[in-house]
Amino acid sequence: MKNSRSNSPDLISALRILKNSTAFRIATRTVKWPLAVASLVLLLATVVGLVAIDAQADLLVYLGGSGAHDWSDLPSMFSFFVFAQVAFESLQWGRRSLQNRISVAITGTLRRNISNKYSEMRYADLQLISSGDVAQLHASDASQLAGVWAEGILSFVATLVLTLGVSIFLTLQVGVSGLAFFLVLFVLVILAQRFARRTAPTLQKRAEYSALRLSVIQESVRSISLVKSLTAEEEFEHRVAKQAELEQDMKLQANAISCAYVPVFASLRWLGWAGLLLWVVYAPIFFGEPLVPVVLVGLVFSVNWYSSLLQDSFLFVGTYLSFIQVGAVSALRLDQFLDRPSARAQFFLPRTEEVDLAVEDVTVDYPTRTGQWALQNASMNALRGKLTVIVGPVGSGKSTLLRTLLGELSPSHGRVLRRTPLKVAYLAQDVALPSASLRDVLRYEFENLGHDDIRLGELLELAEFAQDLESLPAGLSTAVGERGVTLSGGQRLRVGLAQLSYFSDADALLLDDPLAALDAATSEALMAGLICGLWANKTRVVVTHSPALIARADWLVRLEAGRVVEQGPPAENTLIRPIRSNEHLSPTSF
Amino acid sequence: MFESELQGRIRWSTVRAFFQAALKQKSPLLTGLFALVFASAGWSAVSLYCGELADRLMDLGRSGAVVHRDQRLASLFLIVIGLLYLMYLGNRYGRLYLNQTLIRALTDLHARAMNAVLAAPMSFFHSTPSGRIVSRFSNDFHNASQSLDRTMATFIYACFTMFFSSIGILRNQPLVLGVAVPFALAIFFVSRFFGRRARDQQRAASRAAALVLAHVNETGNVGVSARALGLAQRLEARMNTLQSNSARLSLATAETSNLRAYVQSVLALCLIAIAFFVSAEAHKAGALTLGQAGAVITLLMLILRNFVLVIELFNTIEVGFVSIERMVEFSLLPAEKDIQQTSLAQESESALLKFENVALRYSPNEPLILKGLTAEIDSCKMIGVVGRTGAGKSTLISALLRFTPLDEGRIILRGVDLASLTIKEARRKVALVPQDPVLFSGTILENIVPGGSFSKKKAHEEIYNLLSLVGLGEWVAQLPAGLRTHLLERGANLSQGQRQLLCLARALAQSPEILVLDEATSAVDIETERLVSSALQKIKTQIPILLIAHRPVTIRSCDEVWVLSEGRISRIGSPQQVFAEELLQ
Repeated sequence: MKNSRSNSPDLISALRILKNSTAFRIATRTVKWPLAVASLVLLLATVVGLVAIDAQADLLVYLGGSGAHDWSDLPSMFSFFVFAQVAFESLQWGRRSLQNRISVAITGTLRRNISNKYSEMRYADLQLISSGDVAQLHASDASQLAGVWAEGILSFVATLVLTLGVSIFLTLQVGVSGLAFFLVLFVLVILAQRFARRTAPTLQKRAEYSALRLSVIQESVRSISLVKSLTAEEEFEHRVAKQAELEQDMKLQANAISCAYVPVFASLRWLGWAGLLLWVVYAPIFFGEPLVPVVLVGLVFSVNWYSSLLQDSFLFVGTYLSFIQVGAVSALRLDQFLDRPSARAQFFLPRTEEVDLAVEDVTVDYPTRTGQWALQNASMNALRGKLTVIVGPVGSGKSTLLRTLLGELSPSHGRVLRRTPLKVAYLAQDVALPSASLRDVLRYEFENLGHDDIRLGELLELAEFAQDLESLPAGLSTAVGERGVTLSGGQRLRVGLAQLSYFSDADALLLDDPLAALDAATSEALMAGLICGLWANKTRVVVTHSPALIARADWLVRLEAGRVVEQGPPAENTLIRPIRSNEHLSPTSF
Repeated sequence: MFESELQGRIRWSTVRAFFQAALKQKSPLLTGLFALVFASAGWSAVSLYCGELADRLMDLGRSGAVVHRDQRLASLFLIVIGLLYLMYLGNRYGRLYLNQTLIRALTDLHARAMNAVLAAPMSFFHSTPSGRIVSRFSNDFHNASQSLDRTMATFIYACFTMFFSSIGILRNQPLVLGVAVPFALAIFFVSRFFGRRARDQQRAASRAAALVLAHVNETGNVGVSARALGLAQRLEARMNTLQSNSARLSLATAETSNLRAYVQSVLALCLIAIAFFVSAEAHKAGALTLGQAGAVITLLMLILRNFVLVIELFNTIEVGFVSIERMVEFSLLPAEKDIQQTSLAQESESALLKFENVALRYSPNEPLILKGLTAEIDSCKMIGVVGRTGAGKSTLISALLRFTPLDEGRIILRGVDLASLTIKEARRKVALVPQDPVLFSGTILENIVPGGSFSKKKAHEEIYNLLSLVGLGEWVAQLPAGLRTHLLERGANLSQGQRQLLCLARALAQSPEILVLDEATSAVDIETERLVSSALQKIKTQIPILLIAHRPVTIRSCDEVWVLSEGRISRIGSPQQVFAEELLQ
């Protein structure tokens, strides 16, 4: 995602990006009704706000006209002013409340979409996404896109409507000075647009640096024991600090730009006063007729008040606009993630009845290195109810073959065959368990439904985990932690196997090195109990280095450098030669 | 656990820590503050001059003098316009410098938190899932940055404006003060009541958000197997539960702040109303000129508007400080205890590695895992360590790498008590090849020499020698970019076996005095295992190797096997002897 589009959105193109953005469409659809109500409240608040301002101006003028009246209207005028103010505040409260709801609803919907997309992503696509990017999308981009509606557009429109209202109001009351506001309004919109164009690239770069920073943090925290054993803490401090500083530079740049525009946005009040000066001092020269002093007094305060009001609004215009822009940048990033084509696995029907799974002449490219293949013209069958074992040296494509059978990788050539209907279960080499209690992990059930601990206990016993279970502090309720970190590699494998046996309705099992990191006695028990016991009638495709399991295979496939070099029943297969040479150590008996 | 401790008001230590970071750059901070004070004083002054201007206009109007010839009026106009101009300058540079300081302070805080996390003891990582840690550097850092570097300047500006406006009012109409005090108190108490709730809700919301992020992180890893089982929708269901909980809490936080802003602004409005009446009565009685009364009222309105602004910003800033608090909390994490004990070991110690009655537990309340382990390696050779799960194999690694301090006993490496070294010195002497072959994003070179890649780079030749030793020399040499080939996060573009071999090369590049392999050859096929074995045969002529292993093929080339059971070594023998005994049982 580093190569996101580099053309920086000014305000117009930011809006265009948002218009075409999937993420923004999702966001808007979620909050259609709250948005409509919020707009209505906004409009109402503006009208009431103007009425309150008017009431205040009337009060000032009334106050200025002392001697001309007997003060009898003061209580009613004043009550009206207070009433209008309270009504205005109440509407503001409602508007803020709606904005909060809009913001939370959009963020939530986007986060759900990100998570679902991420969990649907096939292995091939996952390799192209860094976890820092996902964290960044989740933590910043989702809320920034929510800011487009909640903080950006709604507030910007509110400012525009208010400015327009005050301008009309002032024009009616003060003439020239009010017209000056219109002129300023026009100039300001143009300036705001320029401001937006200048800040955009820094905002985009900032998001990219932030994603990189999070990637490094994640890497180091997840493998902290390794980092510590390598005494590489400083190295990672340095890497994180480097990214954080790049990010900081972008923030400083954005700050410098927005501060440069502060006086521009604030010039409104200055112009208001200049208009007043012209009107009060020089108009009488041309019109001869001096204004009534009382009106003048009201005028002075009105101009001072309105211009400060508008100045404040415009001080924030830059912020509102930057919300829209930042949101547009986030929308681009979110779209790249959400619009990523999720290629569905394509399976063909095997020609013969006894084949459950097969590949035919498949070539698979490395997801991260196009043009370099991990498998080349490989063909193999997994027969129904048989144990197929895949062997081969490191990097020869064993896991890739398994993932291709699973449909997680798309071959650039050849076909993947699968009988329908066929339920396939998979155990990855590096078993990842969701962080939950052992009970929930086994059942893949996170809503704390009823317990069936007896059955789970039996399954764990089958998976040779009974002894480990006793040593766990809270038994089945023990939290196995993120990625199952509280368990050793061997324990994770066995929990993974128990999990598979909980979902016993699978017809075929694809196991990636299920006996690694296990002692010989445990391996033997697992082979006898599960792989060649409970699952004896299922179709099994197993990647392994275990000589004992190889010896039990119905069919052996040997890979070398991405090609199937030999396959056949084990007895007549030459590939077990290296294993035989180890047999003097009686490997199965330890 | 970490997430549940924080409650109540934001601690002063948090605010102090943040401002200490900000104070590192004194001159931009002071310049910024001064400019903002200047600008807000200007704003209030303009309103006062407004009053004088209005009175002058009244006088001129009453006397019938020609307005545009009046010098005093002209100078008042000039003063107002000049003040406004200075105000803009103050506003611009005030924001510029103050924001700069805050942005830098946040980055500084981030660095301190990160450094403290990396230096924290292993027990911290055992009790805190990485998703929660990352959440503080993503969610909280983002929140803090959003709510502080954009709003702090406006907040300070508004506060000073209120201050100067009050002075302006007091100059003209001290009576208002009597009305203001009780209301200010009421507003203050409302603020405290809601503020407490908002802060606690915000903390709960942060915790819930961290859980969501942790779940999202997981789905990438768990997704493939969940999908294979047809259970992807359960991950979605879990996400929905976690997210709606998080959304509910953040909405509650926002709504509390919203309600507080409303109640406070209505209270403030009451204050204004009363002050207005007082001023109007004073004017009727002739105690105030019209200009003065107008100025008082304008200033009051100014205070009201800034008051509402300050309250809103205060909420935002407070939420930001909750996030800062979470980061400061990390920056205050105790580092690993680096106590160097005086060594009792003699220089003439003949053993290369000696465990003397080593006892260890992970925390004071837990039972001992190693219970007086004693063993010795007297020459460079390869030792295999076997034992059932729970026998203490991984704990042995913890002890050697000083991840956990020893309860009793000593570990002596080449005549040096490990406890007499700094933690880093000790770890440099012990190289670990972990169970999961983890590589970092970066080049192969950076992975092999991670600590020194920025300072003292090993000669490429030396690294190629290491790679050839583990059997990867040819493979790396034929890569188009060689040692500079870029690896993805967690080495995603390599096979599991290649990763393991690279991890071995990395461990050797450390020039250790002992090499520890933690089931490191589990996923390596037999031929690669042979490569590793022959590499290990060469390595063991220089340094001893401790091989934590399970499979007989792995330890068959060991010179000696230690059988570990219940935290002690129950048997030492040759691989064949140990096999034979196991067979008998």
